[in-house]
Amino acid sequence: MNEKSLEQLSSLMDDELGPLEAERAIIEAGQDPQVRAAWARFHVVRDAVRNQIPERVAMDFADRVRAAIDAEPVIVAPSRRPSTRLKPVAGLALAASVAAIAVLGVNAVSQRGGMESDAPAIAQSVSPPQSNLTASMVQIGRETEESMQSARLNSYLVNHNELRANLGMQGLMPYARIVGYEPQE
Amino acid sequence: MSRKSSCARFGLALAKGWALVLFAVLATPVVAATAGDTSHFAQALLSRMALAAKTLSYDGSFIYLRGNRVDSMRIIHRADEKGEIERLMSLTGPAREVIRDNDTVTCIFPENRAVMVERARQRQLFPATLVEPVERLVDYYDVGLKGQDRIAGRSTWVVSVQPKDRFRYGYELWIDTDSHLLLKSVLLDADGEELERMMFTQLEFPDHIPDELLQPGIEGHGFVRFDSRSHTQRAIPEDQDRWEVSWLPVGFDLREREVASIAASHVPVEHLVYSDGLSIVSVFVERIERSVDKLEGPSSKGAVHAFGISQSGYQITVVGEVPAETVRQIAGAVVRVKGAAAAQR
Repeated sequence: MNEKSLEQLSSLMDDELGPLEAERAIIEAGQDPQVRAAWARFHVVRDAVRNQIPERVAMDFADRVRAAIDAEPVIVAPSRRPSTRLKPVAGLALAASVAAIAVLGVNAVSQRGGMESDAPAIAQSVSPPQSNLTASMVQIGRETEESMQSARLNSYLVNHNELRANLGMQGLMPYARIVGYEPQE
Repeated sequence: MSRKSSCARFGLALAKGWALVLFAVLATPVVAATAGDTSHFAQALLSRMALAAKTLSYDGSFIYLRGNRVDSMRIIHRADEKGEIERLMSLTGPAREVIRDNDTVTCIFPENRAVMVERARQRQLFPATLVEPVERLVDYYDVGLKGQDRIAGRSTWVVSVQPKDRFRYGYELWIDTDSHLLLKSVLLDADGEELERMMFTQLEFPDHIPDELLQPGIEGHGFVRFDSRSHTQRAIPEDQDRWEVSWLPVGFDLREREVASIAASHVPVEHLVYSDGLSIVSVFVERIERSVDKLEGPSSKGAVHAFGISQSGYQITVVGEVPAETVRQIAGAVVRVKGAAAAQR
């Protein structure tokens, strides 16, 4: 995952890409699990800030989709307007972003299968993606909670630093703990 | 930076009339007369160190090491008659930044396209350690001078602060003999195991730090914002329940209490700060509306430990640079005081 693909991803999220560019970005994202994870993270953070993550929906939604996938072969309906499918709908933002990941996941498989698709969301009778799909969705569920908790912890930590500045040992650069990046965050 | 030019800066500061106190404290020579005085000498160094961090202007790079992870960062700090402003940025990994001025603390997380803005609290020139009696501190820590060393090309005193029990952490501090700025700090557990290390590799004291250097390097266009100031402040009614801690390690007492809006929460958060004069523990209590917001069990960031529990619809989180066990035990001792009783306090 490079800087450029992140940039593209963020333009995609802001609906700033043309249809061709959007398609390329989606295909690229589908091939790179890191980009897929970043895409999910962007949404989770945005949704969290907008207070749009409904309680427990993340896991339930993933479970329901997984159950549905287990029950029947994956058929994703063709869409004429792929870009609008990626736009989170208010109130269902997380569901939408999970759906978008599902689209990305399926699309990656259809690419590998050598199928020509005129829209990124089209895939026909794809057999092997179940495990990938469910794995990435479970991961998103966990990521939601982790992102929220990480944000909350950062917020607490800043306030802790601020209130203690006039007390006790400040140490060298307490804000280094905010700036320091932990890969598991 | 030579001793001569730092004296020149003092002269300038005096001319501006804002640092009379600073001069009085920093310019008085610190001398360890006898071996028995080293504890007092070390304590005096701690006070000056706290003051230097707030009153000097500097620009330097340092490394931040915890476990097997190391990051390199740059700090630019400007202090003048208008107050303090500082910009801390990561030079490795995601280009995160924290910019702190008199009003706000802005944290930029480019990898998440997120910006978090918290309210800055006014900093007093004299931290509590300056007025805290040495006798009190030495009840819980052994404070001593370990010798001298060289960091980032500058000569330093090495001060050791060792806890007397397992509820707190110890420090080793390398303090610039000239500016009294802290140049290296190692956080240790009660067994002397290193938990975290920060060390300047390069440091300058520029006469002038331009505004441009204190602007964020990332535009943040289209980033989402968590902003504590955008939440409307709701006062907690006098008769509402308050929170207290029924057990703390010996020496800790309540130093601050406030109810504030914080960026990551939509409800006001009650924040209690406890300290033994050196170590500080924060207790945060807020009503939780959604279970995804729950922070349960232990977590950590570098040597900062946190422990969360939920109690009858409230999230209680204890945060501090103390051992995981300390925050866990304090979290378990947070109790609710009924409204009427709380109002009488």
